Amino acid sequence: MTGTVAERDAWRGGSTLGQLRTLTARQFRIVYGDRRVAFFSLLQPVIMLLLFSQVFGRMANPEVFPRGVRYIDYLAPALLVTTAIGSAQGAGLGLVRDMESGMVVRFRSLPVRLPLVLVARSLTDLVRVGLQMLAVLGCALLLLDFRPDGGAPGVLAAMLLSLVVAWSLIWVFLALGAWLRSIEVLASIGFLAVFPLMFASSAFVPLELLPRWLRIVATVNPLTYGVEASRELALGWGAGATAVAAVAASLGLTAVMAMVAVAGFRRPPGEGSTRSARRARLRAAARQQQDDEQQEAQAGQQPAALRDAPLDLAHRLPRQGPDEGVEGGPHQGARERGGKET
Amino acid sequence: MNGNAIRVRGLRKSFGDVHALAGIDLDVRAGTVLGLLGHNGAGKTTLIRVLATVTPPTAGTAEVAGFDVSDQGLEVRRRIGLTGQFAALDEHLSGFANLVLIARLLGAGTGEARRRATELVEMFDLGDAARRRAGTYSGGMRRRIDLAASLVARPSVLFLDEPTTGLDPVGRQVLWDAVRKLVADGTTVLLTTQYLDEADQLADRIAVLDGGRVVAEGTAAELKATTGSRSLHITLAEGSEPGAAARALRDAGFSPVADGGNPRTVVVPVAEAADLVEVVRALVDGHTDIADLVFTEPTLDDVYMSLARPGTRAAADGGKSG
Ligand SMILES: Nc1ncnc2c1ncn2[C@@H]1O[C@H](COP(=O)(O)OP(=O)(O)OP(=O)(O)O)[C@@H](O)[C@H]1O
Ligand SMILES: [Mg+2]
Repeated sequence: MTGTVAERDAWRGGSTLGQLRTLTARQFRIVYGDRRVAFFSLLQPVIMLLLFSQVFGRMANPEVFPRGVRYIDYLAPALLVTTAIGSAQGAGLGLVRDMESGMVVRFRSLPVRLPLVLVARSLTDLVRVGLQMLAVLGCALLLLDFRPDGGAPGVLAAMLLSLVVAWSLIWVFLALGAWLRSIEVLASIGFLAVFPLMFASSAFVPLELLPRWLRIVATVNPLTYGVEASRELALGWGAGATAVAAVAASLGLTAVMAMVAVAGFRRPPGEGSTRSARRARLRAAARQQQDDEQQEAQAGQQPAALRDAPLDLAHRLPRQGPDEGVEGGPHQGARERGGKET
Repeated sequence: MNGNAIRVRGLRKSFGDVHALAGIDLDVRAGTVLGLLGHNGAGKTTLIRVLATVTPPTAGTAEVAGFDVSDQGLEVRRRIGLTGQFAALDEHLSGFANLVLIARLLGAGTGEARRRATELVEMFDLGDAARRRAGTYSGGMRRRIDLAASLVARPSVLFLDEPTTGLDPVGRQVLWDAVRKLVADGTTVLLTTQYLDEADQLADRIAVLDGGRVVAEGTAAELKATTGSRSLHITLAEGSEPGAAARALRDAGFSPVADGGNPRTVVVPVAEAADLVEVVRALVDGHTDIADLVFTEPTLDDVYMSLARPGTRAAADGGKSG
């Protein structure tokens, strides 16, 4: 059953929303298809929470924190934000793996809107981050006596804010993945980025406690502001000005990084940057001109073009030269001649 | 349908300093099969990728199903199917789910998509294995699902890059039958292959690619007729000197070569059957006795050997059209 001519090309490509739904469903099956992976990805931030709260909580001097704020209250809102880094890196790695699997070549030959592949990826990883955040909050509330002054609305707001920050980080890594296209490079960048971003910030200790140089790094680290904003909302500090700024900055970053990522993703597979492709095009144009001139010059001496007159081919193939003896197979002589003529 | 389904003019594709395609002109009539032959690195995959809009060309134009690959990529993608040289499957999904995924992306409803996937699973004889994760498939299974995936849309132009590499003889036969059926329905197929019998079996016309250029194009019979590697295998009787026979033949304007195996055999390439008389006369005049004489027609292998061989740029330069 191959279908009749009438059915041919009947499917012209689904709607944007339909394709997004299909691609997102596919991503979900990849990310959550293996229960073990899903389980450990949830366990990871919970372990961070348990370790940090127990290890640092013991040493934490209550005087360095605002009055009435215990270490768990200080830590949990920050972990909502830092959890996003690992998942964002995972998004970039997943994208590169997809590109290497040849699946992207398939998508490129189908009427699929390519940016949707990235959007689907970002949504899937956003959901994963959301689940991780819920795990962190659940564990903090149930096991570690997390009692934020902002109450339920504050915690919910902090989580939404963290999701916005996470989305921008996911797009940063999608852009890196789309341009670098190498799991190794991305993994090492991830390692370099994750730890400084996490620790050279106010996530685990107040800025004032950091050595001077680290404090400077932490002050320019955008994550510090995400962490501060999350605390502001969860702990009911201030009016939420930091939060508004953090959301605005994250959305701006998302927009820029989405454009960068899509541009990188659109580049054909297995090729360098678009700039080097443009350079190659220019070079090829120059060479074509050169070739054409050469060809015109040779036109008088060269036999008729082969493909125009295939039946002339026999006469084109040079006969065996008189000095070439009976030695050698039938093709060897021809190859040597070919070599000489080049 | 009539006219050309694929029309390529002056197509070039360069990767830095590598000129994978160095000026291709090619036409494929709608509803026919073009077999693309060429040694490793000749540019077959690159040509298919450009035609399937996966990679943009560096220069030149190409139309597929009446649409330009550079300017009307979406229209092209709506009408083609591609089975690349390397399988493009989602390893996390089952073979069946892969097919459903593609149908859904093409705009099929859930029911339609499942029906189409079932149809293709039957067509390629995939059976229960289609329900397993694609990551667990053997090479041949993967290939078959990949082929099925390119047919989901019932495309009018189908690109197959070495479709039967890694298939067992049964799988190959199944694929050949499928291609024949598709062509009978009016599908245009461009396939690359390293198996010359496959080109002989399936292709209406054959193009030989070398160094990014089409160095020969025609029906299998035309190409065979043009290589000039019809030859006479002459085994000399005891007492006759192969050297003397070769000398006599050279004097008569032929180019005898030794047969690899038998020292008493001389092989004489001839352009046409009528040359047989000349050869025999030259040998008789040279007082050589003939024990045995066999006339062999060229095979597609001979065409391939004489045209598409790394380093044979003489043919490429001559074959380039201006
Ligand atoms: N992404 C790329 N970057 C650089 N060079 C490339 C790229 N893709 C192909 N090439 C080069 O272009 C030439 C043609 O390659 P192509 O894959 O089209 O050959 P092919 O005829 O399909 O060979 P095979 O029979 O081995 O599949 C080769 O020299 C190859 O190295
Ligand atoms: Mg190839």
